[in-house]
Amino acid sequence: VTYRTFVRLAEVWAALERCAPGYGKRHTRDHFRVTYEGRFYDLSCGPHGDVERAKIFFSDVRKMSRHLQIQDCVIPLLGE
Amino acid sequence: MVMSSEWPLYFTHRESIEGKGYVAQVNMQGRVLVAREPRSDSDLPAWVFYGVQPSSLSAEAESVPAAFALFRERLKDVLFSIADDARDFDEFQAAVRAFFSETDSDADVWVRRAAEVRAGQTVQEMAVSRLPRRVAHEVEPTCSVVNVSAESYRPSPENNVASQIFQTTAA
Repeated sequence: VTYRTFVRLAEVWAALERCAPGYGKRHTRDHFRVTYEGRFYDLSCGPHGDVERAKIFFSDVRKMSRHLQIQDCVIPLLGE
Repeated sequence: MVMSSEWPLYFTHRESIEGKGYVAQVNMQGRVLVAREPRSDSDLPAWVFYGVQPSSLSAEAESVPAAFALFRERLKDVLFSIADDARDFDEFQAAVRAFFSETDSDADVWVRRAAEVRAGQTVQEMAVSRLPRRVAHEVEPTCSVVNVSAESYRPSPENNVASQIFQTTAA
């Protein structure tokens, strides 16, 4: 399977709404800390600018979804 | 078409972190999966470091050294945010150890890939095969967090450790 390089942050939040109901997020330094069922993942969104418009590496989203054990739901939603 | 592949690597990294009333030295000897992945919107494959221990981070760049440099930056950023949250050294130490110990499904993949390499499977990718080698028992995952602002701490040049990546070997 071949994936694109970047995903828009809004797409990530939409996927999490569906695949990780009740997940938490907060902006800390250069990333968003996503929490779900006792685990956390720091999603890198770059140090400057409008973070909500940030592009996220798809590889970072894949790793986040594996770490939060929601990959079976997230990857089909965001993959090409 | 570039086929995706992944290899099990070790890394060492040392970082000084200032917290609330203390300075901590974090030493990690961890594990990563490094992957060479095709991209649908680029002719060039990406090199991705997927954390195994610690597992909750990744870094992507155009080469193995660049991806490792970014991985270290991301690791430092996570440690900074843990220091932001921790009320004192004990809390920071406990949170870093928990961050380092928590694994996911990549840990099983790493073990399988390492077993294949130790069984004699050749690493064809030059960017990986030219990395220095270590036998597994020399690089068991460890994480130490030391309060270097404590009076009992004795600085020594022997504590200086370079950040490096290694591949596993059969010997």
